[in-house]
Amino acid sequence: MIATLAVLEPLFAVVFLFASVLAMPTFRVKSLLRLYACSSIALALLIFSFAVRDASGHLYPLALGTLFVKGLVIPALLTNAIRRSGASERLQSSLRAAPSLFVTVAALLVTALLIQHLPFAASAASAHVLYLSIAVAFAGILMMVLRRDVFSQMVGFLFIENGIAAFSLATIVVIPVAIEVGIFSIVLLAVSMMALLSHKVQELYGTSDTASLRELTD
Amino acid sequence: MHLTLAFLALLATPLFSWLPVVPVKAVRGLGVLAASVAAGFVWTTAFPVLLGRVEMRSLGIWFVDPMSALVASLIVLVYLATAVVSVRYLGHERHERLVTDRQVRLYYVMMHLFAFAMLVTALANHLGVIWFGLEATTLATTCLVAFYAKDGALEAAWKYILLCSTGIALGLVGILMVGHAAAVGGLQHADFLYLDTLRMHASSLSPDIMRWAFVFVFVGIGTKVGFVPLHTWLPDAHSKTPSPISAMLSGILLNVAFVTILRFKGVTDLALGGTEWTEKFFLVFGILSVLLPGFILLIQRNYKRMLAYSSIEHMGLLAFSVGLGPLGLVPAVMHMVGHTLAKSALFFGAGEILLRWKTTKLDHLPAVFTHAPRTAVLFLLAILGILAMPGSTLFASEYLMVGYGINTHLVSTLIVLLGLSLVAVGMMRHTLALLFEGAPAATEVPPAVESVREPWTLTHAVMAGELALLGAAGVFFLLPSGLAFATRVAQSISSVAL
Amino acid sequence: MSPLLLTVIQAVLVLGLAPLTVGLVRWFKARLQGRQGAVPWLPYVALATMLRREMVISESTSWVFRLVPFVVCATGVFLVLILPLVSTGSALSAYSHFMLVAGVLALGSVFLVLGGLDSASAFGGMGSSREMTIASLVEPAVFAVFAAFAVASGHATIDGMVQTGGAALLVTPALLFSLIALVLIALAENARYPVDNPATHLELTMVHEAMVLEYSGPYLAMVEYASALRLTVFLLLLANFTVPTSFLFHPSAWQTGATAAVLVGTFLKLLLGSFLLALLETSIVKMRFYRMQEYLSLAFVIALAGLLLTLFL
Repeated sequence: MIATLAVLEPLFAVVFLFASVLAMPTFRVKSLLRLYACSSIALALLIFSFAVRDASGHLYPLALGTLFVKGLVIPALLTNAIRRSGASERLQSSLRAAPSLFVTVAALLVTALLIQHLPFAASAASAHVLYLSIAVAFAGILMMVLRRDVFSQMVGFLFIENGIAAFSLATIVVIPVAIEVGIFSIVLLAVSMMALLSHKVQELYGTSDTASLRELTD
Repeated sequence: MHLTLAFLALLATPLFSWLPVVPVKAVRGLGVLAASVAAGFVWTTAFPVLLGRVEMRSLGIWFVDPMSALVASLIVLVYLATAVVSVRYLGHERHERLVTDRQVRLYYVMMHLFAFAMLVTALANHLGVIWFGLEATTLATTCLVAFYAKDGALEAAWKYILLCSTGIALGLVGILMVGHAAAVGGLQHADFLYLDTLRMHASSLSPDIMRWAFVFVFVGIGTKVGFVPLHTWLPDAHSKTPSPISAMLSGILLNVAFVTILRFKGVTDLALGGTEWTEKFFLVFGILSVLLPGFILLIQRNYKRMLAYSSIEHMGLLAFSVGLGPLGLVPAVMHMVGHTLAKSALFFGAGEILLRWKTTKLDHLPAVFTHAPRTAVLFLLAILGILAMPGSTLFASEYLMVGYGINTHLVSTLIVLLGLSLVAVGMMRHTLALLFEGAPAATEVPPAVESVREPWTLTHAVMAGELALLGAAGVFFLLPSGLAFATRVAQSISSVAL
Repeated sequence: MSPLLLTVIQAVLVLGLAPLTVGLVRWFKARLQGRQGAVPWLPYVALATMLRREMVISESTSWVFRLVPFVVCATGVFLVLILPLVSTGSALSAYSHFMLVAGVLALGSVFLVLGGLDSASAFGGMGSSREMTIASLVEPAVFAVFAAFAVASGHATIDGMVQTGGAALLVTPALLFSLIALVLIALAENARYPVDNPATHLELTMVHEAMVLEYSGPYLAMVEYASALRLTVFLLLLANFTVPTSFLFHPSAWQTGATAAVLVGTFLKLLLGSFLLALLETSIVKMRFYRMQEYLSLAFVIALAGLLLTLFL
């Protein structure tokens, strides 16, 4: 089993990265959430294979938590919230699909160049995972900046969290289980709060476009 | 251990506030009770450390040194004051049917959780717990920012939660980098993220990694403090929240986040072997954060936003003071105390004005002094306090800051003085307009209420108390014993001997 | 078996089976949609009929109009002769350098575009402009895909790429991306869903069909035959890259059994390929034209990912 996992590890890593890259030109809410779930499950499997390979027991709860919370609960929560709020499926963005895809690819290339300047490259557990984490976090930031509607910004934040989770994997920091539970619950609470807020925004403004949230300027 | 138990006990209060078993009228009283219990407990733990009778204690994941003792004492002071003012504020709003019972319960639950999270952050020793506390404050306060679910409030809440959560997530990256440096430096697994262990072994942490970690922590948690250009959420969030909570937000939450950055600075300086590199960050962001509000305050016509921009400016002053050099921590400590007292008093006063006239725009208000003289006088005194009139704590701290700055960074100090003058002009102009000149389109109070003299409310009592404390502290800090006190507190967080 | 024999076998087989492929796709699509559908060998009858008909050529055309069917047909036949469809190591396989192949494909497209423009009709011009957009956007993706295969296998000729074994190519998992990109490109080049609808009769939705609206009689037969050849070539190429099957190859001796097996295998590949194509066309919708840039950007990014991963991993 260890051998199979070792072979499949690059696959998990690539799926994790590609799901976040493919999320950029996606303009339907359900596809976006499915890609996020896919990316989270790939991350969970990646953590699991690291745990099996290095026999580090502390990674198992992290893998389980990622799989359960980020792969299942959060997408279900958001899909439910979107359905109940009656928001439109079509998402808004400042850039169209093709340019946003190219911007993401440019971001990936920039990350590759940047990695060499970081002092972690030598000491990180795996240079590939380090690259993945920074790339996915960067893609998340791009999504938050380029997209105009509340759901994409939420999903962008979630991709940033995924990238940070991968970063913790790369820098092999042992976080006690209690803190991990705390981090997962915080992410879950933050997402539920954002979902509640977007529901209220949809109720009040009739649209999920944040262009309507531009009143306070001074 | 018993600190953990105490925290768990404090967690019970929000639960009680939410359950329908407890009648709504009692929820407010319960809030005051809980705040008093918390205050009593924290003060008994903190004062011995503050007064130097007991050396700092490190109890596992909790950590009580003079700085955290000071911050914790300030937290519970503001918490107690807010609880008392909320009795008046929410009582009035409920009486006028502006809020429902359910909203009152929500308010109190979130207020208790907020104070609890701040206490956790201030007293924590483990970096993960600090992160958890900061993020928990963001989540608790988002509910409160969106309390009145009207247009501006939702926009403010959305910006707040998105920006602050992203910032704190970047802070988490910084924390992970510090942990990585610890791992590389050969620390034990269990000790990775404990502050006191990190301080002890700081020399074994790699400088390159610590530099990156500090940048991420500074930018990330700096978003929460409100440094320019990461401040865009602050004026909106602080102006749309109910005023007692704004007092807590402006008064103490910004300080808690700032002290967290200071702790990282301490570890980083020990790892880098000098304070100059980190001070550059504080200096630049501090100057920016003083200048921008200066310009905006000249044209600000909304008094709550005016107070929020003033908070940004004071955080900028704190950063500037720290950036001047290791000795700059002493005036920073004094400034923190003064700002907390003055800003919370100001927001309580703003709450009174808002309750009466239901608008925050200066253009719609009559001359407050003629209709509500007590509020007006207290508000004016607090404004004078925050503008560092002699006699207020802020005067003592700014005097020391400028004195130190002229010797070390002359140009930066002059720029900051320019910013401070702009702020003073702007705030005085608008305050005098608010208090003494009515706007042409002012909403008049109906004559029936007009003839009644303004009652002396709980808010006035709290404001007067805070102003008295402000004055007392102002005198205290100018005395040698006050200076020694501030130095002792600053020493606990600094990496070099003062 | 001598290389020349291999070329002849391949040419006869593929040139003969091309219209059957188109018929099979239509038949499968009809069956999947619950219709009875015309018999799979109907295109043969159609081509035969078209060859006997009289041509009507507009007076506002030039010599280009008459040249186009010949060029397009010639490119199709050329591709059949050089690419490793049924056999590898055939006589002309040295010409299957991927840049030449890409160039020949582009040549066919360009002449078709010119033919559409030449008759000065509105729909022809519209189809030509659309086809040119798609062709120019698909070029970088084609190069990226074949470059990835070239890097992985060490050969620049497609013949060489396939010769190192389909499965061996896929040992480099990054080539999975290139394969997916090749599928997307194939759909674009052959004017299939989601890029174009080959069965539409509404001119405003046409891309490829609009360019050939003015052709009739033998010319139309040639153009239709050329597009059938293209489809067959792409299907067989995709099959050969994906599935490691046997080919007829040069140094081996003539073995009737093996040869027959390869011939049957080719037919099965075509069968499976047309079924999958029909399934795809039944499941998805045609995209609006302005979304072509998204689709083709996606193909390019996937192809680029395959290339970069092959280069650096």
